[in-house]
Amino acid sequence: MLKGFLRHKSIQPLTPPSPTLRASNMTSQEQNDWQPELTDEQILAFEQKIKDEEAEKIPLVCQKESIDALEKEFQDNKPFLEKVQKLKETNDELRKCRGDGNCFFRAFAFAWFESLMRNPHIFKAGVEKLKSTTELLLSGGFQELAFEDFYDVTLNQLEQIPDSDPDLLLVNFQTEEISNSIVMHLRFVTSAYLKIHSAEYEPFLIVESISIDQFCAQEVEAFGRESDHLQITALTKALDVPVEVLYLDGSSGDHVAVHEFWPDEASKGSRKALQLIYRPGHYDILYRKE
Amino acid sequence: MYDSKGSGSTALKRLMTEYRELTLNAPEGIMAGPVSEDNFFEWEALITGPEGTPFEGGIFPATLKFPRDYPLSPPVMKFTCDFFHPNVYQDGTVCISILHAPGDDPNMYESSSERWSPVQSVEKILLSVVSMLAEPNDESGANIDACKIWRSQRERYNDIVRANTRKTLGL
Repeated sequence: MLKGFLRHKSIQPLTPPSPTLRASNMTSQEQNDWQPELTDEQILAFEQKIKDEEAEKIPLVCQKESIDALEKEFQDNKPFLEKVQKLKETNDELRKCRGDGNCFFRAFAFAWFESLMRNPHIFKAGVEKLKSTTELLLSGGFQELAFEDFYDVTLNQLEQIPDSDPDLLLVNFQTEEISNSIVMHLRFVTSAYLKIHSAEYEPFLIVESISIDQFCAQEVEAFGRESDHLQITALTKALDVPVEVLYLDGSSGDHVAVHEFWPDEASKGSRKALQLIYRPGHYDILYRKE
Repeated sequence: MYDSKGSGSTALKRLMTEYRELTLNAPEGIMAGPVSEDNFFEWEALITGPEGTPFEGGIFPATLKFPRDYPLSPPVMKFTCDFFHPNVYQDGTVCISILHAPGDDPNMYESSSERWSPVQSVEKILLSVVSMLAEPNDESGANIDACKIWRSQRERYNDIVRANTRKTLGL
């Protein structure tokens, strides 16, 4: 199930409605004519049902909560629990995101926007960086038609930050259309960066034996596909935003592996990286002790 | 419930842009637009049968139904005329890889085949359908009879399709 490092499957496969239920009260003529396929309305309704069921479990981005939540989650799992207890020395809070396959992009986006809200001195550079992504997307071969709506929403949200507050930011990230547009824009930015730097990144795909273009079409540009090392590397470089992924796993010892993604090694130490916590299946946002 | 359906305003904006582009410069042999100005989520399309195929000369009507979260999810396309083709269900629903997101694999498409993502568009779907008419993919069939006949009795397949083609012209 875990095809690669830092990959997860968040939606359980569901079985479509049973065809036998329908067939039982039909005449023999109807049964002959009847095809065991779902109609388009049924498919759409079924997909919507899955989304609704996911949505009822947890908002797209949640309120901050104490890291004790992780302790509770892993109370019966010693290797994880030891790491969480160690983690409490440096971190005190986390913010969960919905497990819909977009959690890396959504967690990254929220943590980035939040950091720009908390640090006005880097806000302007963030806006400039985001504005530069249209050029990146065009160089990456994207049609304006495909990205303009997602870009507009993302820029609009980012530009509101100086006049906004943390509660409004959270509400916006919980609003499907806004939140998903931002996720999509970051997916396109990641894809464009990988395509432009394909010579550098294609060697990582040797095992899968697919090209960067195929990888981007299947794993990056499609909404709901999970993220792996390559996506994180590309996005942090494209937006010049450092990220640390703290990796909880079942290995022995209380050491939490930290995977650092620095856009350039030289700037390391001069600024703080966003922190995400990964546990098999999911990314959430992590907060340092103040 | 956390606003799971959304208002569809992003979808509406995108569909209006696509409609405008298609009106200004539609590729040859393709026409598409909303059924009514009041509902941009349901389109009608007309596809001209490509030359050198038994579909040649025909004009095939179809509908496209868009989900509220378009273009994150693909539309559903359905021919509204008699249509005999390995990749079209008997009820007219088109089943090709571009209409399915990666991971959504009702017909075991090859992993390299083109999939749905928001970089695709109505225009790209319709162009894929035109090439599907010329080159059926019997590896991922939707109409098993059409697959069999296309594979082993090509003349009979051509006759059935030509008969449907004439019907679309009201002959």
